[in-house]
Amino acid sequence: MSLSDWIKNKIGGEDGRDARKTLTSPPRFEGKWVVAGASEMGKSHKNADPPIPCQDSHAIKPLEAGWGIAILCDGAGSAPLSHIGSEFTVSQAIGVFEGIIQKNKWIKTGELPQPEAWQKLALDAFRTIRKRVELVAEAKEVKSKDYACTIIVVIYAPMGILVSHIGDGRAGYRDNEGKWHPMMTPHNGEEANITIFLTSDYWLKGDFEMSGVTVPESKVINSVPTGFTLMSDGCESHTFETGYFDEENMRFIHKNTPSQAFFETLRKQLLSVNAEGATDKDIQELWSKFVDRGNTKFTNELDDKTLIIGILDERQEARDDRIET
Amino acid sequence: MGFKDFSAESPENYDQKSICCFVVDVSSSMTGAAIAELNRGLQEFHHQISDDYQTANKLEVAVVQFSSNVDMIVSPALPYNFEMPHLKAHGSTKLVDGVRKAMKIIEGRKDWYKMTGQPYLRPWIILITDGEPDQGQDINGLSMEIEEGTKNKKFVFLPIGVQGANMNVLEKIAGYNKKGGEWQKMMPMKLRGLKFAEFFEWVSASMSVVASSTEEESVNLPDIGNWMEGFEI
Repeated sequence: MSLSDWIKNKIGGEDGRDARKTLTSPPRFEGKWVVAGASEMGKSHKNADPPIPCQDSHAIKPLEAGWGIAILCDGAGSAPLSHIGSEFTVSQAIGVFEGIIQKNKWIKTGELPQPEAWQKLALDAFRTIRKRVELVAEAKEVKSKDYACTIIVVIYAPMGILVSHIGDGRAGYRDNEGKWHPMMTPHNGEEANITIFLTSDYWLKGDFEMSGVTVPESKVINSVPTGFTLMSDGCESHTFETGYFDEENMRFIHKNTPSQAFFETLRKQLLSVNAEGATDKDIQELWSKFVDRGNTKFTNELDDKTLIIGILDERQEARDDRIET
Repeated sequence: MGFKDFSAESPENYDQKSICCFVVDVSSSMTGAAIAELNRGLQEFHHQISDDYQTANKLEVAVVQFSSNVDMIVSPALPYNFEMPHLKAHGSTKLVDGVRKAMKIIEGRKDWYKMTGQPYLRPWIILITDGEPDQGQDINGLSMEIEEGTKNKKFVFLPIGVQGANMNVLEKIAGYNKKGGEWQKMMPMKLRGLKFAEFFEWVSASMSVVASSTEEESVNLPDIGNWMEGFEI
């Protein structure tokens, strides 16, 4: 049984209810995730005198059986220590979310949580991470808001994706028919550069809304992913269709669509170098260079840029060197 | 083994807009070197933002000049859609009327952004003056309007004093910014000599810092360059 058939049965397809009873464990993950991520300084940070450190941070942690975690934080331009805050928050978040995966035995059962459960788990996780940021701030005798940053968490798995975030940026996934979809709505205020941070107080109760979605916004994608991406806002207009001006009706039309052409082009190149035997280090170097100066828009971007991409390599050779449990 | 660099074309998107309205003093006291340097600074600023790939499609500029009269000499436009005029010094100093005109212009532009559903950044008003406002100019009234406008996030107000400016008046009309949860006055800054070019360079660079993520109410201000003279608060 293929993975997608297994999922169809698991969530109840035409004859899903009957099939569910007979299933005991998920089929073996076939393929290999090629994941790359880079956080690069924006032009305004490079050109400042002295240069402003990159306030973005990210981490990627592959787990067993085709599961993994990718996290990024974008430090607030208005917070003096946000470069430290984003790095610390990423490091803590990786551990906290890995703990959640292990504790709930999602890898072993091959099951993603229900949306309500994921929302609660993510909210609690963000509260825990926030508390740790506060403790560090207290120890360093600074305000926790000096460490302000946004956060996007993506847990990728063979049968779907979990995503949760506080703040702006974008994230998307590629389905098994090759179409890219958005999977989060950035939290923006009335002005385009206003967002919300992990260190903000507003979201703590879990009922605060921004841009028409809750903060944090948590989603369960029950679709076999063949790719995913997450990025800080410095990359969004170079990778997503974010909007256009309808001259006829004099109206700006908001969009939140990953650029199919952009991601498919990069997907092919990632798969190609992977097939040519590039090591993870080679791929990371190529990716960093691309995010830094891959085209004029990336080169000229003023804000810091973090772009993470994961592509499923389904070739036989890739299957042979997949990560096993 | 060498691998081919990754490359991909980015999609075309409509850029979010911001507006910066300069309110410039062209009273007779600016005659000579001051007006010449101000003109040079404005022209360089225009070239700089026109040449900057990022700013050219984002930053709209308006210019109001004041002397015995108040005139909008550049209506809100992207850099490639206007010519920066050469200013001539003459007349008196209707500073308050000039700032009020700028407030109306940016409010109108903001209404346009909102009406058309466009993402935008908080507008800036930059006042550049070298002298004392005319008798009868309502500084106290303007001071209250700027406090209300900046605290309600309608605009950022930055008063710049050129040699001979009455900094006490500028301090009185300074705007507010929230830092660490507290409202703080954004104190006026005094131009060192006639370093208009350096100042406008700073303004151009500032627009990018302003665009970076920030929490509600606060505004990012970039570090001040060497164009500013030390000014005690």
